[in-house]
Parts: sequence; C-alpha cells; structure tokens
Amino acid sequence: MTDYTDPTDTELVARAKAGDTEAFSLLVERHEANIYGLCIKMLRNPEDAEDCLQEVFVKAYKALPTFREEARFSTWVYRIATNACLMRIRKRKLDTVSLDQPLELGEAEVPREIADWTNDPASVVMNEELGSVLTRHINNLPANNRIVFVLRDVHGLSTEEAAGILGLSVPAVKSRLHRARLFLRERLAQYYASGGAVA
Amino acid sequence: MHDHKECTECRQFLEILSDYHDGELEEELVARFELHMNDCERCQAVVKTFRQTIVYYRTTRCKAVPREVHSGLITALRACMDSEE
Ligand SMILES: [Zn+2]
Repeated sequence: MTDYTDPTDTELVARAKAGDTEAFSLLVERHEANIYGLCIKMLRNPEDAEDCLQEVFVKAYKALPTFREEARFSTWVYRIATNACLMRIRKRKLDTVSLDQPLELGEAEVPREIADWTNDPASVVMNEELGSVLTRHINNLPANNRIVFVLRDVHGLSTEEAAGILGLSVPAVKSRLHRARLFLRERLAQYYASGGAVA
Repeated sequence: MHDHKECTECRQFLEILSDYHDGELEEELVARFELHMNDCERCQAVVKTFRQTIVYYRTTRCKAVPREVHSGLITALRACMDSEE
C-alpha cells in the first residue's frame, strides 16, 4: 500500500509540530510500552502507572513546540517520564525515605554463598513465580537506584543517556547502577539458596 | 579454597564487577581479576549470577501496554488535542 518505509521519529516529530495529530499518535504507539513499563516499575502499581503514562504524553504533546531535535524523541520522553515518576514518589510521604536513602548492602555485601544457580534447570525458564520474585526485589530498591537500573539494564540505555535523562554525572549513574545490581543479585541468590520458596 | 568473606581481593573485585560486566575495566585489572577467578569459585559464581540477574531483568521489559490502558491514553490525548484547537 505504501512506497515508503516507516517514518522516523524525527519525521513524525516534524509533522506533529506542524499540527499533524496523527503523527503524534504514531509516536505514542511507538513509545507507550517503554514509558508504561518505566512507570510500572517506578510507581509499583498499575493504576498510578496508567495515570502517569497519560500525564507524560499529555505533557509531551503540550511541550512539543519546545522540543529541540538535538535530542532523540525517546530520550526526551524518558526524561519527562522519569521526572513525573520521581515527583509522584516524592509526594507519597512514605516513599520519601526510600528515595533519599543510600542503598546499604551491609553484611550481605560480600556474598557468602558459592552457589552458581545459573545452571539450575529451574532457573532457566522465566516463569510466573520468578517474574513476581524479580518484581518484589526491584520494588525493594530505593527509587534513586531503581530508576538508574530500569533505564540502564531493563531498557538498555547507555550510561551517558541515563545520565542525561536524570541530570546526573556518569560516575553517579555508574555507582547507583552498581549498588542496584549487587543488591538484586544478592536477593536472587538468597531466593535460590532458600530453595526458591521464599525471597 | 580461601575464605571469600575475609578475602580483601574478593572484596575489591566486587566493587569492579559492573565495570567488568560492561567491558569498561582496564585490561590490567581484567587480567588480575581473571587470574584470581581461576582459583576462586565464589568469584566465578558471583560473576555468572551477576550477569544472569541482569539478563533476567532485561526480559521483564514491558513489550506492550494493555489494550484498555492504550485506549485510556488515546482518550486523554484526544481531550487535550481538542481543547487546544
Ligand atoms: Zn574471589
């Protein structure tokens, strides 16, 4: 039906800026899963994530005239989304602690276990139980570490991109990411050490 | 087998695991770490499970939004677009 390939984000942004709402809808379709996934992991419940998702794209739509094409559209929307998530977390009084508290691994810092559970047949398949265990563990990360881990390791952004999105230095991103990875590895090791029953 | 918990080398290597995993560690340190790992089963296990943890989480990335979430978003955007026109 067409003699052209899919338009790039840059082309869609240009069309949307010129008032083509259909082009903006295409941008939404392209990026909504990433933004929703980020919101779910940061806000930890589907209702807040859905609400935040709408806030992010409404903001993006309204701010589109100010968007400069030096940045990628995806990076720009990620930045709007991380700000929106962190703002919501700050507003929840109970969560402020987890946002500001540095991640302490304490005694668990040097791993005690020797087990290599990567060869455990039960660990090969991503099943429902493991999925909920992973969610429980990531939910226990302070938001400052969680956001970095989600952008870098779940969404596969580069350290530099994550630093730009979060307004952090590259060393700060690396350090938060490293703490998060050690924490999650340790928790998963504890899960397997306990026979996978509790974690 | 040496005592991993007391081993300062294991402790030091724990701090550079991310750089090692991301391929951002200086060659000399990579060589030292790998030499250490030859004798240290714990560090071997930690490296493998560290990598596996990241692989697992990569698979939890959201691939699509639920249909009702998508339509809710479109409705919110339409309202916003209409009010601007
Ligand atoms: Zn070691």
